[in-house]
Amino acid sequence: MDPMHASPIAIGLDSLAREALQVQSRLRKGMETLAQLDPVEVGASGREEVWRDGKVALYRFRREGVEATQRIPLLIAYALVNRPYMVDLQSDKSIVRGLLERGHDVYIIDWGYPDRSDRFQTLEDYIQRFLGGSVDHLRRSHGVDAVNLLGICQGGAFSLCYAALNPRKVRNLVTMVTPVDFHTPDNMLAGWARALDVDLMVDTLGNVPADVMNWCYLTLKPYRLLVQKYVGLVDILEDKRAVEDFLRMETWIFDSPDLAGEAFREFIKQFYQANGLVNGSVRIGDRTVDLQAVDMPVFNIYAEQDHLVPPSASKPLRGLVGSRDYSELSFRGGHIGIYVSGRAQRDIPQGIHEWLAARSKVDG
Amino acid sequence: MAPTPAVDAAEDAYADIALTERFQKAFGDYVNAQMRVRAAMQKEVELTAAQWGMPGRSEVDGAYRRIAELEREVRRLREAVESALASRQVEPAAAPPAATQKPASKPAPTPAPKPAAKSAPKKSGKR
Repeated sequence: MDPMHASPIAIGLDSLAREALQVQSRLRKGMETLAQLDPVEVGASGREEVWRDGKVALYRFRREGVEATQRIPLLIAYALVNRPYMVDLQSDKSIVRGLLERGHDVYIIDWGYPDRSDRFQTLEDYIQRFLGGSVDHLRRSHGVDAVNLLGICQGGAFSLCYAALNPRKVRNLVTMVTPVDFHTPDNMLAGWARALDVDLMVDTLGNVPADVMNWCYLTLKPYRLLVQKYVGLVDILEDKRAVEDFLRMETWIFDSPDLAGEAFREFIKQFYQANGLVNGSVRIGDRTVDLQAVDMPVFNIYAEQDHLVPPSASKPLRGLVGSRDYSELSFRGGHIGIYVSGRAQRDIPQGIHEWLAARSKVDG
Repeated sequence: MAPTPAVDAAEDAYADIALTERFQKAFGDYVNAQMRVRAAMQKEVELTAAQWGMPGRSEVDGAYRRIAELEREVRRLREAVESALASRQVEPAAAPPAATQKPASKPAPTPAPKPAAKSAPKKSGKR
């Protein structure tokens, strides 16, 4: 065929038959792999519950043989929409482990699984009562005035609000893949959220089901997340370890709590629709969040290929906080890769550690 | 997951559409319409349940709302009590004589602490 007029997609009967046979062979071998799999387990580090308020628990991570050398505890606040064990998924994919090995005393808030009785939990409950309660517990138990706070994704937005409302209780603030400007043109999720009648949605559904949220996330990248990922699974079916990793990740993705209705209503209206962090209009209870009050050192980590929180949504933090000590870390990867990729294991704990260590020297 | 050019191209083409205002409006209209249908169905169910003397979603939600409000009120009161106790510690001279015999560092338990936060019993283990 004249190469000028050849199809860019080379599909012939021979190649189709060859690929079909390959897939069949892999599926057959995959059945053997699947039969050998153990139940999927998540979590790499030991942990103990140290505080609880209703369904919300505060855990302290432990690693045998490793003692904390940093005096100030580091509290991780994750998003409500997924389970927090993503930061400690498995032994070779654990930001927490990296922080423990560098001497940090690491705690994490587990928001639990809200049910219908939690429908009227507000952002004030999540930020001042639960996050604030955890911070106060750590201040008491460690005998310190303020803690180091690491907020991730929506937990980063919560941490910003908490730090603005209680600046004397946060010594250093780290935000990771945290949305700040919700009205950037490349933010697909935010664009969709702006058109929702969120009052109608919450009044109708009560809590927002996790499946609704997951479907929304999957349809942001439908070809990759609903097609390519599962087609690609065939290629790794013969590798038991790769299949276990795949299932562990799937477990995390679909292990999503429902979202408390009133908190969802407030978050969508104030953050997604009104862009309240940028406009200074976010209200938590009867107080207004003023990011100028965030005057402690701030370290903002964003992911360059993040489709959920694009860098353009995160980087405006620099111009909004009142802190004179603001730093950024740009991570080459996506919203999930920043927890689980090999590069993340190298760069993220070390980046946070170096930044905090430099501030602890200044703090004395 | 290694990206492939065909998938990238499909995602880019999809994003070109999904980021438009027209798509966003259609998405919002679609979800909002689903919610209106569901709300209407719920209303019918609630009316039917009421005929049989059964509590509906509104009634149960009303109770949940009151519980949430009461929890917040308990928390406010608890904080006020703790704050008052703390100020008595700071100003021992102002404390009544009984307080000097019973140090304020060990106050009597305050009422209604049930929904409030507490240190958890030590429990270890992975998830």
